[in-house]
Amino acid sequence: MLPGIGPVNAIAVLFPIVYTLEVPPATVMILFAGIYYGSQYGNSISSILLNVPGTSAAAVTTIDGYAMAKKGLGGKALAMSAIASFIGGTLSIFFLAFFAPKLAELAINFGPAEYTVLMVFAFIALSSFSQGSLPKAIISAFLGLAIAAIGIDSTTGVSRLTFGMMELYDGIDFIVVVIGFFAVSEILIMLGQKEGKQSQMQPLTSLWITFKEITESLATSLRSCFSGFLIGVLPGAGGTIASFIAYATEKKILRPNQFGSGDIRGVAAPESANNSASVGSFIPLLILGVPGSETTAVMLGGLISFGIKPGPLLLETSPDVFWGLAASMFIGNLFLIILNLPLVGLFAKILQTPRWILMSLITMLCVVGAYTINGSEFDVLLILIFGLVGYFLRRADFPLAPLILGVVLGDLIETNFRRAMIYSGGDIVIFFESNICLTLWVLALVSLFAPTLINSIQKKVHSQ
Amino acid sequence: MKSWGEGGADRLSAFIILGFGLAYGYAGKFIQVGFYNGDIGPHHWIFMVASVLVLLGFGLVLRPTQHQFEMENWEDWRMRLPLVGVIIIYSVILPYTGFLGAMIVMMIVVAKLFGANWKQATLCSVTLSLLCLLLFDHLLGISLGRGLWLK
Repeated sequence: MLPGIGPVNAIAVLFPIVYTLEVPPATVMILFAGIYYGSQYGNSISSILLNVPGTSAAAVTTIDGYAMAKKGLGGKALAMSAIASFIGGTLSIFFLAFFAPKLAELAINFGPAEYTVLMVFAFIALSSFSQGSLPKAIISAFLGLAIAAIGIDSTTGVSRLTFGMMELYDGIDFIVVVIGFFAVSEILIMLGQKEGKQSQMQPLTSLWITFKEITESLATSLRSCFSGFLIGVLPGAGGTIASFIAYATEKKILRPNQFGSGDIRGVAAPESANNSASVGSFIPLLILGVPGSETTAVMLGGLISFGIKPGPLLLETSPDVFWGLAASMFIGNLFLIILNLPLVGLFAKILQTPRWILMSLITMLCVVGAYTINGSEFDVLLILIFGLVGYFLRRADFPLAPLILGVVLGDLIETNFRRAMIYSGGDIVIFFESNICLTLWVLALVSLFAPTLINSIQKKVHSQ
Repeated sequence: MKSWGEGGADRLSAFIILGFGLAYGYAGKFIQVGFYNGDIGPHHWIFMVASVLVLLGFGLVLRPTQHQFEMENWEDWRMRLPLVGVIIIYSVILPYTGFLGAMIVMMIVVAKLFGANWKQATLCSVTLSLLCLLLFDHLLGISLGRGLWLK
């Protein structure tokens, strides 16, 4: 909800606490998933009342949401956002429960070569969908792999790039990297921003929404939920693209409309789509072990830290994680709509918290979070180093999501790559032999060109 | 505000990536390798990652994307450097002063940097530090660093 903070930072600062408390993995996943899809709704509050999207996924909501707020219909827009989020979030849970086991059956035939190609596909997809240039995204991913390689090699037990420092023997904890690159770099960026730049908050009006308005937006919510889920399943795509595509589709389908000047369906479409996409993104994460966004990449790292290996066998080895998560999403969505509507006034007030309180709190949680992982001051220094590097990478337009993916998947991709090479006697043809590998290469190629098409849709939305 | 020339920012970052890739690959040479490592040993992966970084860094030097960004405003670093300094000080004094002392010092500086006055900064830092200590150390049982006198 708070602009600039986002679910990644929330998860990053909370992770060390749950890790130290040895909370069961299923509970941790439920907590993180709640933050993730809860933030999709929370973002709409700042989008609608402040015209400042909390994350890029809520950017489209500002178009009609803020326009409605300026007309004195902010409460109505927030109510529709909650209802559409509920529809998108709830329906997509059924899709998740239906499609995930089917995909798991298919993925059971994966060997080291298939896993390696799958991870390459994930890197390509996430890099090509990241904002900025593709070479920079790939560099970012390889910087992540470079960080992940530090420490004891899991295959041979040889220490690598530790320079005799005991603190580096266990490698660099991914959460230290996440806190540094995301939270600390964000604090450094915010230090250069003047507080006076904040937009004027629109007053919160009545949340009352008519039955006619709900029925008029129902078809929009349902269509957007379906398209959002499909886009969410694709690694690298996610909420931002889902909301843009849903908005563009509805704008084309619904004639006449007032999209752009305060149409309530212009709020329903992106909100339903981004909630649905956030649920959909759990399919590649849990069934293939491939995260589709920076937030799910952090969740994957969390799961691995707890000894849970996401993949096709997850449904058999840890059914509590998968089905517990699915059930919690349903309950979570119900609570979101029950709690959010009456409490929206309070949430709007939180947006006005003085920056010095908020940033002091975040800085404290970052430092405390880094320290509690290993009880080491060295990790506090590391978040500072990564924060400074992250700041300059962000200034130079290097996307950070591929870097986090590199850190999280680094060990897995290296192990599978080396295993595949050992099986094949050093012949790289193994990565092109099976039908699964070939399909994944084709998907990787498609994902390379898909952003060009999606960009043209986004430009169309903005120009109209 | 001045901006870096077209592609200039990319070239600068590309040179840094290039240098990092070379250093990373060079450091990989010193990995102690056993007599058997299969077809690909622990050092090969390092060389592979370093090679890609060097290649892409070199590519970005030759063909920078048309990216321009505003030159770093060094005035802002008058705000950022105290933050960097205070985090370093926090990690250095934590083993001696313990969490409460180190955190109060750090939080006063952070709150001041974000625009609080002295009274607000002191109140905010003491309150938040105490709440944090109460929550983590006393309720959750997570040690935040006790300092010399409590060891």
